[in-house]
Amino acid sequence: MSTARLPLGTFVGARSGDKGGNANVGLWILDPVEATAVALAHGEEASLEVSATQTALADARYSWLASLLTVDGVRVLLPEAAALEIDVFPLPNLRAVNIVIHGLLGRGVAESSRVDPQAKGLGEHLRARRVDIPGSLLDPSDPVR
Amino acid sequence: MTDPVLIANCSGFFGDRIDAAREMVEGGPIDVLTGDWLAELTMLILARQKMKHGNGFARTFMTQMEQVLGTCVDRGIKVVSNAGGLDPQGLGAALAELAVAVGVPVRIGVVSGDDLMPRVAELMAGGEHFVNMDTGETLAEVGVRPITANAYIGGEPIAAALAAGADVVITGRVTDAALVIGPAAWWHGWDFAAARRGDQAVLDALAGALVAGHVIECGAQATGGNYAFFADVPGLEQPGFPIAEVAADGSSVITKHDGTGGMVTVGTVTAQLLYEVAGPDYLNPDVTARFDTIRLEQKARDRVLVSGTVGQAPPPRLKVAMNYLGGFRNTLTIVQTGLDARPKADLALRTVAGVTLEQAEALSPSDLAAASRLDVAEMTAVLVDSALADPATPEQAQSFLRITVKDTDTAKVGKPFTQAVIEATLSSYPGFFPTTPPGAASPFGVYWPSTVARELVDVSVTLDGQPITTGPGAA
Repeated sequence: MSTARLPLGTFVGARSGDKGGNANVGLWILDPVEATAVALAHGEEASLEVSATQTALADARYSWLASLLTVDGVRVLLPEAAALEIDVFPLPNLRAVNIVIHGLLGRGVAESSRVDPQAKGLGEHLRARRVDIPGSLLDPSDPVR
Repeated sequence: MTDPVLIANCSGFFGDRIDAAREMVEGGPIDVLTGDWLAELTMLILARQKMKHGNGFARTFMTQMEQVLGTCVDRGIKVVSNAGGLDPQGLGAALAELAVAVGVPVRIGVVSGDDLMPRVAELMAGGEHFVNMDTGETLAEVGVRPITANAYIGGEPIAAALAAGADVVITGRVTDAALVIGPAAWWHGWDFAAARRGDQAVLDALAGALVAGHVIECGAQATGGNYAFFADVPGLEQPGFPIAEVAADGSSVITKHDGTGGMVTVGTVTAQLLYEVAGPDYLNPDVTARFDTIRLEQKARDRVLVSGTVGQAPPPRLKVAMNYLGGFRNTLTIVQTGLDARPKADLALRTVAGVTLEQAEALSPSDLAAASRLDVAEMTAVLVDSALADPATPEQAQSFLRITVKDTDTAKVGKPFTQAVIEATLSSYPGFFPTTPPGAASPFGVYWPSTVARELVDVSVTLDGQPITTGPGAA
């Protein structure tokens, strides 16, 4: 199967933040309805119906994401977390995976010496990492989505 | 079946856009104006403010109320805010003064009892050890004295204040989502006692409101702010703030006022659902929401239905957030321009502190401090090796070495540290200069997350200063 080396953020969103000394980053697959929702938000006319093909693509992308983001997979993508305790929680209902990295921020935002003590940029850091994405998961009409 | 209650958020933290309150009140129909003015760090900031100025509430909220309080009372819009911070009574009194100045009658509810500071010793003597949820240490073991200690209270006392007739409800530390659970429960008449008995319909309704509260608690983060696919978002220069239309069964539609920037899509709502969460159990004093049961559906432009959320019994203990003064820190960043950023930074570190860049990258902060010449408890040094090859501009040529030191003694991380850096200016690598002048040390806090038995927290609800009774277990 052909793969392309592309940023994880090609079709994966992320949001990160802090809870005391722990950081969390949730990653999700864009919903098939998103392109329509965005068009509506821009004042265009669009139908909210989603095709079975679009849903199957989103489901396949989610299966791939969940298999990539194991505890060991996270350690590879984020070497700074290699020695830390990591929890990974799949949320298939949202086509999302939530990752908690314990102790990444020391003892909280006020104490941390990191340039980014609240892990605001952690999600965007992960989205910039290059990974091997199966060609079947790329949208033929829009390869960067 | 009651109509959905339209709950608008106008603040995601105490530095958020001041205009948002007026925009939410004047931009379309709403029933409740709420917002979150408190973060973990904010409690520490308010503690220092209280020491300096005597009041410990979020003053940005008062600025917003000066703009909208009269209109809210005229239109029957309830205001529910945690801006009371460490001083909910003080904010209640300030609002009462404002009401007189504006010339509108306002009934002010105040929820307090979250502040455990006066009671820490008593609670510890009674067997509460305030075990750190992350490290497992007890407060006594580490021997620190907190400067803030607040239990996270739920939505039930807020609902009680509204039911008693409050126009405005001021709280201290409640959970962010309690600011939505409280008004939704009051509007729809949800019975917290039934939830405690295990009534599944009420638990599900409360869980739905908890999820709605979580989605809107961070302001524009639900409407396209801080969003991974930001290029998709129209009007992101100034996104509108979110509204949750919470129905009688706890399901909600997340939306925003027409004509404001930003967007509400399954994507923007998903992003915010994932913000600062852990496992699928999302805890609150009123209910536990199962995040693995939430369903999202785009219903129309800027309208996302959140439904299906299953509720479970709340945890027996309340979360407590403590902060103590950890010590003092100081940071200086020095610039390496052009070639050889790494060897330059390495030379600077050897000169300033007697350690190598390799040691700085390998050792823990305390070990690095011990290996260094500096008399400090902790030291970190990070090279941001950002210079490009063949740089056309100064910015493309610059890399940065950031050195931070910490100690419990403010004097040690002041002049002795900055002087060691500045003395190297003419005697180290070519082009040595700091990004800022040397400064004084600044204090830092340490966060201590813990729990306390629910029945030990004495929640008090007052209306215009008179106590209201709440049900047993209301916290």
